[in-house]
Amino acid sequence: MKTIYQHTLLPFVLFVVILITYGQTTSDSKRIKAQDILRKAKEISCKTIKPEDIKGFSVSYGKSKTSLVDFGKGEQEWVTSENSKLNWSMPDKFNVEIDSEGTIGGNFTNSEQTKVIINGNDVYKNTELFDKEGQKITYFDANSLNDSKERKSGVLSDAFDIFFPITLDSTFYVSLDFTYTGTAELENKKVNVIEAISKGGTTYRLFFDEKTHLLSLLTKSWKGASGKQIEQKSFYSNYKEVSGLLVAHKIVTQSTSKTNGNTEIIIKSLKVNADFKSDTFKVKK
Amino acid sequence: MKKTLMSIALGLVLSAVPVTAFAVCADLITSGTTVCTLIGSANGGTICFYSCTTVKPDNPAPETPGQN
Repeated sequence: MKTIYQHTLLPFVLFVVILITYGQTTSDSKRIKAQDILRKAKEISCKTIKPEDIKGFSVSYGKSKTSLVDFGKGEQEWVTSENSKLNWSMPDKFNVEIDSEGTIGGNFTNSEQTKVIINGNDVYKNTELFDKEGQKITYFDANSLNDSKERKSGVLSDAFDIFFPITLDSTFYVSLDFTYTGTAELENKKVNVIEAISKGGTTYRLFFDEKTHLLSLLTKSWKGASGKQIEQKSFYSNYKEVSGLLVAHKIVTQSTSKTNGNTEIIIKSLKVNADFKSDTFKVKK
Repeated sequence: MKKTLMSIALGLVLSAVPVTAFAVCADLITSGTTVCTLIGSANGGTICFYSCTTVKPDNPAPETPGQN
């Protein structure tokens, strides 16, 4: 009896072990290949500076955003145009100054000056509004608490969009464990694709140009608040060398979410390891 | 029903944002992700009342870095 079991079970157990080992090896090799692609992209991006020597950035950029908004009068186009200066002391200190103005349905609403400081979990936000004559609008912001959270989220999202292709390190925003998924065609170029699914269920896909090794496209896919699947694509282009780093100076983002809309970020200037004043990241209470 | 009415009343109070310094009240003002529409004015248009709506961007759920 024992011999019969041994004869029938042993090949089955061996088969299962081989399958598991094969699956593990394939999974490991896809992970290693993804790490190779990231390492090569880092080597190309960091031309004369080591990634571990990067401690922070100071970047000035213009951002335009077109979205659809419905506040009771049907959907209208909301266009904002901003000039921002973002300072980042790695890993979790941010200071951003935003000058922006907006139109809704083609009509100018107001301009705005906002300062946001993030220091770990502490957030400071101050906003001033101005009418078309430049007169300061005195207002009481009933949504100030929620707006601070939205602003923090917006600053981190912009920082991820701008800095991730430079550092290829997402840990300040989200931890991602990439695996290689294959090759694809993007604007007549062959690209290597790697993918990771975050703990929150967002799928991140990175598309690296096979020839230049630079990041061409980053896509995010997640289930939105309405339950609909949202797809967002960020195209990186116009790479230029700044302080020994290759930096994408144009980032165009398209979203299937009407409220997120489409954005374009143009980098105007960037300093690596800028000297920040001692109070740059001090959160005023 | 009572709770709903109370919520609506509270919402109206919270969203009625007094704004001064406009000679003529603007129909719309915006701040970040907030859009405010004019709902009334007083004192010859120098005090304006707005109803505000926060248009939340549909971003991925916030995640704590270091997790996966």
